[in-house]
Amino acid sequence: MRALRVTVGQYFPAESPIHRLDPRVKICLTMLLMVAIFMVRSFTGFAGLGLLLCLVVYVGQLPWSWILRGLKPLRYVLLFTLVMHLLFTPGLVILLLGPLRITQEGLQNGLFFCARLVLLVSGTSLLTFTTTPIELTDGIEYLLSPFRRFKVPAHELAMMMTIALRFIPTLLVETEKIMKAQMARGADFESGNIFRRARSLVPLLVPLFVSVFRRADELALAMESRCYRGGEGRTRMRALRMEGKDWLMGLATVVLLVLAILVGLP
Amino acid sequence: MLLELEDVSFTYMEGTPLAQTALRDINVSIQEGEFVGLIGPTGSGKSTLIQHFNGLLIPTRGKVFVEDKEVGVEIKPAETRQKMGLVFQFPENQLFEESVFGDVAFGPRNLGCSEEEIEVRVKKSLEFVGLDYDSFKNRSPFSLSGGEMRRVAIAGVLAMEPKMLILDEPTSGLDSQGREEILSRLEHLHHTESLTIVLVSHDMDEVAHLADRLIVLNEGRILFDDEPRRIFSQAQKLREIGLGVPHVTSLFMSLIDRGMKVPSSLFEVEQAADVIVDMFEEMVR
Repeated sequence: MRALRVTVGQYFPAESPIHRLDPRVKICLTMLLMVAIFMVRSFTGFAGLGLLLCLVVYVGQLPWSWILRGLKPLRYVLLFTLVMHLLFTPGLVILLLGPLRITQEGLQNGLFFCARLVLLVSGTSLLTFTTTPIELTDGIEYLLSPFRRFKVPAHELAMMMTIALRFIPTLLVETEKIMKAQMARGADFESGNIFRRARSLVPLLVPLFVSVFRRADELALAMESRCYRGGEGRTRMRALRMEGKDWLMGLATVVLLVLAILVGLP
Repeated sequence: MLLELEDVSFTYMEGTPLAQTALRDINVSIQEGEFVGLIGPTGSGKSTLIQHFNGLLIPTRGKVFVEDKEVGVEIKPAETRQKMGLVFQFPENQLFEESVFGDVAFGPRNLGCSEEEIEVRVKKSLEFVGLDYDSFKNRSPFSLSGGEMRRVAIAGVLAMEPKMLILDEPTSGLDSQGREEILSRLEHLHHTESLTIVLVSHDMDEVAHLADRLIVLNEGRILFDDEPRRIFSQAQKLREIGLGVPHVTSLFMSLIDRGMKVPSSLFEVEQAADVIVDMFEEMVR
């Protein structure tokens, strides 16, 4: 049950311009977005990027709850970041709590890094929300193929990713199934201290590993019996083609990102 | 009443575009001592339904009562799991311990039983499923045959001493010998311990032989809830939803089509043989 609530890395089916965009454009833009997030040095810049992301969510017809749920696993990291900055940044003291000194710079830095993390995670998750795993790996394979002459196994890497992504939902379902089966035998995964909880994972992890190895064996066999032997000379059924809208959308976003960087520079 | 479902509906992933309604307005109650067969084509909601029996799923709408207490209100879902033993499909995939003993003991240990009590229960449960305690207790569950693994998994649920045993396709993927072994063990349990059993299956012959009541599920709704013989007389309807009738019934149906006067609702081989012998004797006379 809990397994199904994990939204990072999941595809959200919808018919939107964002969904139809060429995956290569989306991958490049996501990388550019990450660069932009690291270049931006002011809150105004973050606000600009935030707005841009909101626009993508809106146009992409994604539910806000999915974005929020994607951020949920991050909450402790955010809290930790904020607290560390609050306590250990020297500067103008604005609040004294016993021996603890909270500074204005600390508050600023804390919020700054939290905003950066939130933007990074939600920005990258937009890619997987709007792109099917197949499109995604096709895009990656294509983008990596120039590096083949440097012995980068582009196809094999992409195939590994496809398989890994393909099995995320399968393994989530499997995890849920085993969890339920053990819960039916009175297992409790949710209470007790950290050691008890860690121990309670054994009845979940052992069967899961057994089934992962079995699946891997079966898949390898199934692929070999259909004469799979890597990427050499392999053609594809659905070749990616850049269209006018892809160039246009890409260009528009690049302009927006550059603007955000310019605004955000100190 | 051991189990009662009142207007139960269930939707997976409600509120997302992936929402899927699996059950619609289910009303069903099961008494102590019954042997109920639950059948339906793939995707009819069988597995979803039985997860409501032990509080693993809480209905989107409607109420579930276990021993007249509402699940989630008067009785905790965790508590219902001990009373309603649920054996999932391919239960051997849940085995994890180093020894058969440890695995069967997992349930009672979670219930907080004492070590002596656990040993008694493990012994009893293994014997119920027809595995010799002394020769199996120390073996690794991963070294057993498919049928044996499955029986160990069923013993793991039996060791919780549930009031009702619910099994989701317990014979799927087994050879005919393993299948026979499990079914005869269930029959034995039902007769000697008068354990209430719900058997989920899509094999008509299997259910017809064992159950004294059949529930047919289609597209999340209950289509029939009756004695097997009465349901099998509606062969046409069953075929429409992609379920067959037992082989014997279908043989008799074709006899009727050819103008023979035989009953249409038979499904036991022995009875069928008697009827055919009688028929021949009459023809000779």
